[in-house]
Amino acid sequence: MRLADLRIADYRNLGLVHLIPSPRFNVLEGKNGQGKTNLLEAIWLLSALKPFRTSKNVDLVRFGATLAEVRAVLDSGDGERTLRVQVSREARRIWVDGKVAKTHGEALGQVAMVVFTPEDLAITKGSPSGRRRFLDRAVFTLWPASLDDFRRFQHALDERNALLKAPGVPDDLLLDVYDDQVATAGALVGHWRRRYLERFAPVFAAALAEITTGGLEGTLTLQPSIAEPSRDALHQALVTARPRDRARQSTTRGPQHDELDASLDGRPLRTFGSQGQHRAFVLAMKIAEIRLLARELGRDPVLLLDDVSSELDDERNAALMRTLVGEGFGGQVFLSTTDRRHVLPHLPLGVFDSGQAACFTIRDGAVTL
Amino acid sequence: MASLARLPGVGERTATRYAFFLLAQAPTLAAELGESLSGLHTAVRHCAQCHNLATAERCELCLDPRRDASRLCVVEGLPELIAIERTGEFNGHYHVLHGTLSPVRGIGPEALKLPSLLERVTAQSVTEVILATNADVEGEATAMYVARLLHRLPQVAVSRLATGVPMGGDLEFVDQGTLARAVRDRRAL
Repeated sequence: MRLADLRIADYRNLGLVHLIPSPRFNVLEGKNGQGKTNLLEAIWLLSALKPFRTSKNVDLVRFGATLAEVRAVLDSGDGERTLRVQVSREARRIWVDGKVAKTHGEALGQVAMVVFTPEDLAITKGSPSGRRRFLDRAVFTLWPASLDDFRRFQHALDERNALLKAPGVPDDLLLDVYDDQVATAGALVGHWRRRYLERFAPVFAAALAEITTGGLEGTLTLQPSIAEPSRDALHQALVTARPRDRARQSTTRGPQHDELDASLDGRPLRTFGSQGQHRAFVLAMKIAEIRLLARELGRDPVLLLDDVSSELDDERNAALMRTLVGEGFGGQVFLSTTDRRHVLPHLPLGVFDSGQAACFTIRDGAVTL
Repeated sequence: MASLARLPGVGERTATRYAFFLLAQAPTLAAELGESLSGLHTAVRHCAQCHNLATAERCELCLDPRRDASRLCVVEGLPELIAIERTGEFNGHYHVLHGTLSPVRGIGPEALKLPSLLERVTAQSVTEVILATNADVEGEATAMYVARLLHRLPQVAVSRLATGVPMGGDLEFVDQGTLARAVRDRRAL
């Protein structure tokens, strides 16, 4: 699946943009603050309907405009589809082949994307919520049907928390209802996460051994808030925690507290890992995500790399580029950089002549070839 | 024009068209319309029994002797009542809750027409209650809450609308969330 044609209007600082991307490598060059990340984010919107940097809708629309829009023609090899995403102050909407998508999960399954930004390099060091976000986003990219379960869980959890915070003594019967709902949806969330990690673990271990010269042995394991993944176990935990939840006015047990533990040669990465090991770990997570998608979907995902080369040392940067350029990967790549000389030496010779690469320059919200 | 533009789905341009249209017609049309509108809030009210719209104490559905009063269908609002009524599948009485539970939005059980539902089920010979709320979190929570209230009463059977693959639906085109749910909630044949 490739973007064959891309049009953007009024997304963040971007004015009117029209690109005919190359089927393989697209280098987006520009100084900081010109709109490189915004361009990548506009592409990402086609697969996630939400930006990878958290923002309100109003911030996504260019100052002075009322709507932001991204349109793309997707080429799957045996046919074309059009995707159109519109963001207004009130809503985000998506059309597939000119028809409004009834559910987001349906529309967003059209194109699988993986994004890699400098902020991702903090995944292993940062808060557990960042690691859950990585995991949940990966789950959703591979299985868009999971979106509905994740949303239901979040909604049910929000309702339970609101009930716990409400003044007065919460209605026990009503709390029963939300325990039930949080347990049902939460068990599904746990199920999706486990199912993903089962497939992810071996691919990740191989990728990490490959990019670290010493052949480091790393693992990512789910440390669930509730050991047993069943609905009944979660329900029992919620019922038991009720007095404490009442006191704290919030739900203290459940998948919203799951942790993704990273360890290197049997020791926790968070306390023992060096800077370089953290980066290698995150890089391996991303490479594994890409490979797993390609294997499970039978087609390569679209990759968005936001100026990552400037944040990685030469060795890891070369390892990343080898993955993208090598035999095993044939997908479309969009890389942003402040200087094309960081990127071009890593691309195979002759890619520009064969139409397998294109370079775009971004300046003040406008894109030129 | 400003008043017309306040109606849902009517913008400034449509409001202008309506106003000019009314001006171009015989004055009787505007007068008729005005009369109906000014009488709206006194003539139309909620049925004292089921909270459907009514022009009298009870609505037409509650007064219809051919309908089966032993079966009740509980709905969130009037659009849902109309949707079920259109199917022609249900010949019992309705009960309109006028909302769904949502602590996030500050809507608790006291905001819904629940006491009258329990009263109806206890006082009248209701044998079956069908909970026809939406399949989203709020609708499900409301259905579960009402079901728990009703289970405290001895004689009544409570059921929930089925969800899943639409009739004539081609599995290939059913959205993945619905299909996943339909697979999970499959039934034996």
